[in-house]
Amino acid sequence: MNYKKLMDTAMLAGEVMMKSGAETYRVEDTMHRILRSANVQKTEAFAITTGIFATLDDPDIDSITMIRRITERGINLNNISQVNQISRDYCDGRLNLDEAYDSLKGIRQHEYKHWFVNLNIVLLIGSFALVLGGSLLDMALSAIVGIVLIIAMEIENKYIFSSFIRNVLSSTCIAIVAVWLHRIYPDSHQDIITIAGMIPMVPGTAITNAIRDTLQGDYMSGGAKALEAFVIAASIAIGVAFGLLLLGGIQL
Amino acid sequence: MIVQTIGALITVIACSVMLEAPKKTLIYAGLVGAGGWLIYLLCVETLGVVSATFISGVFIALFSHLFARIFQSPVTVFLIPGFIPLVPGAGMYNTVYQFMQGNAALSDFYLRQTIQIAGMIALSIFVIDSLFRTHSKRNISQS
Repeated sequence: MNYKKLMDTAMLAGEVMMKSGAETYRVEDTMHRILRSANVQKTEAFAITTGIFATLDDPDIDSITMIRRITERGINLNNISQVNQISRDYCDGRLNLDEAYDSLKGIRQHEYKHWFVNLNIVLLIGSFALVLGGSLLDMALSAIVGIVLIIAMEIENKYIFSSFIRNVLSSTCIAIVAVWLHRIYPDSHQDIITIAGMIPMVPGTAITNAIRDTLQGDYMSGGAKALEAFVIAASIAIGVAFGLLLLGGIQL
Repeated sequence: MIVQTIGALITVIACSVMLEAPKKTLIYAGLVGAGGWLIYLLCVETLGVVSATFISGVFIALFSHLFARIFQSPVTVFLIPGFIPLVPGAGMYNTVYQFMQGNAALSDFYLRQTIQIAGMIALSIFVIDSLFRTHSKRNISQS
């Protein structure tokens, strides 16, 4: 058995999952399952949000330990799902090690085209106005807010690197456009348009992952993600407040 | 109510696309989210926001786990988009809005409600996750 290749495969699987926003325990579990297929005496896998570690040891071989630092994190549910499938196939013997490694190498890509994702953000904001009980007018105005949000995010992604500042600016834009549209169409609901506009930034993933990591006993990752959720929520709140102030949507 | 449920269906599917979920499970994630929102709407009149969130959250988490087992994909694929309609965005907005208006008491009320809703989402995921965890552990020890 090629232990080095096995290690590489496990690390690659862990890295892709961590970068795609998987829960910590799932990353550890997947790496551990892959490593265990070597039938050596000791295998360990350890993951936190900023790095992954794994070790393989047996009396017959020199022990191997690898560390990989995770610097970029996003959300890509399709990658998580694919790594899950590959590790399942490998552990059940449907794939050999080389095939598993090659298919892991091949999955780091986007499932949908960029414009299609943007279109769906507009759709998401528009339909969420309906979820909140808005009228068709609210839906149309929310979609306009969505288009503004996408333009703002495209510009911010080019020039601003701090995600906190990006969120503040985006939600400021949303609040300003919402107040402005509400003034043109007084029949619309300003609160519904603003809340619908915020929804792509709301920390749903952070909250869900924080809960599930905490339940599994990964208090470090769980706490880190709970804090992330609070910071995102605070950045949105600051942005909305700033936008409302700027347009005098509120008299202080 | 029907319009809102259809809205929730589109919301959850669009959110899944935003989070790059796999194509084959998109529609099922949408059904989980729409069903959860329908239950929320049915409960919210009599039980209030917080309890309705809990019941709806239990439904969403339960069906996420069931679908994850049926389609052999990670639970996250259904769970994260499914909970999007429940995430207390409205509570956050109202907290800020009332705070800026100078209504400290109302702002406090909405802040407390937001935290309670987030707590209820957590509790419902806790309950269903623990249920399925003991179940799968037993399966492993039997095999």
